[in-house]
Amino acid sequence: MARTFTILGVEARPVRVEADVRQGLPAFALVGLPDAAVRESRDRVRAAIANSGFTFPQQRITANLAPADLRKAGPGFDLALAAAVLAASNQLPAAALADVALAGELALDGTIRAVPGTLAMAEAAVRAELRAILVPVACAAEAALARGATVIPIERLQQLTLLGGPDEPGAAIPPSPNGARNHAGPDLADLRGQPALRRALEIAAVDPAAALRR
Amino acid sequence: MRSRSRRSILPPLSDDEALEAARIASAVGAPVEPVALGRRRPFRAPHHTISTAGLVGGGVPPRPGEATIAHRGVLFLDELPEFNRDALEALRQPLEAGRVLIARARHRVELPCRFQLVAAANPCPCGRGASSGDCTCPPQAVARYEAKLTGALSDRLDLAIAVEQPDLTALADERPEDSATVRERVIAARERQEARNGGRANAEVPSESIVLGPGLQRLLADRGGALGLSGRGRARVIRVARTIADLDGAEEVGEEHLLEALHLRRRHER
Repeated sequence: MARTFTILGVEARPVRVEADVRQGLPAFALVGLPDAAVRESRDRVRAAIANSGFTFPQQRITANLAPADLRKAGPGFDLALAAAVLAASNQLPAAALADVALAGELALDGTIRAVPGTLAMAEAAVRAELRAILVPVACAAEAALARGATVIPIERLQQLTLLGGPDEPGAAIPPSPNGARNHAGPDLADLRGQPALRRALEIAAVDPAAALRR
Repeated sequence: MRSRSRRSILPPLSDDEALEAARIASAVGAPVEPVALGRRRPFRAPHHTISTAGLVGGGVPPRPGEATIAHRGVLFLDELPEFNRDALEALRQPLEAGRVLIARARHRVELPCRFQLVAAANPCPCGRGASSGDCTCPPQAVARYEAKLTGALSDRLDLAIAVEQPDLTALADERPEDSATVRERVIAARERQEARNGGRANAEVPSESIVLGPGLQRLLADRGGALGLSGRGRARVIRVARTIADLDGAEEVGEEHLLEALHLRRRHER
């Protein structure tokens, strides 16, 4: 079992990815209301596992995205799905996945691509009292903005074997605001000959809920 | 350009605001650094062909609309009368509440959308204006155009300005203040406002909590009656007057503040 999240609006909802591997004709079934992108995830996962030094089990695999009544969209489940398959086929210790969440899209060669919503996911991981969340390297800075979150940047699928061990990638450091706070762009000094408009812009700037028409 | 220079006089996002805006940017796959680190307020200017779901959010699974992406920033609707009527009407309740509840059979999702609405419109479809004498628009087209500007959404717009053709000779000599100067004044006024309201903006407090002297009450009743102010319009005029007084550094709302607020409320002849 692997934990991940799906974004509904701007909130992250927890999703568990379960995988069952048993004797039978080789097949890979995915249930739990996946949309087209999630269903295609099976082909990415198969190739990424094979290309990352693991073995894709030639058995009957059933993967379930729970809760089953929540519609799952997007490619963000790839990493968790791969992890669940690897754990179910004894290529990863299940215990290593028990207290972490994973989010990321897989490339066929096993590299991990950015997915949207990792900041909300990292916050949800904190609320769920998970040890850490693994996110694509490109998303690590934004996910690390979540207060109290341990964000582990992950670049390739192989790195899952380091999870929980001494060589686990270090947690991302939250970026600090760059003091410059530059307001590049047009300057109000260029707005000439419109004193009434300038005045209204100034009033509107003081009161953020006032609405302006011109 | 004018509406873009709007953002440069806004105070930077606070820590909490920056986190809220970053969460939304992250969820829609937009760059997070400008809001989270640069503390720049979002500025969204969707094209007028935008759908209702694109503006306020929706779809399966529900995704945030432009109103939510503009959270804590500015939503600029250029060519307001060209927008789809349903999309504009859908903005009414979110403007008041600062959030959108997307309720469908399968899910309920709440999206934050505390944005400032800025809108621009031509006086008529051809852009020359009926009063110019050069307007070629048929009267029905002008009426249809204006119909989009009146009514419930318009009632929620606090400041209206007719932008005239500037006097070109005066332009060359004018040296108006730059954004940094104005921003300082804005930040000082916001601090006064938040100190008085316990951290809230004037537009977020009940208008009854803003004290007007008896003379001003009478003035508001007279002028408001002439303007045909609704109850909501009256409350909004009071808040804008308080904001103008804050810019002035005044403890109490004065007559000149109220008159300016009423003036900005006035719907211009087209």
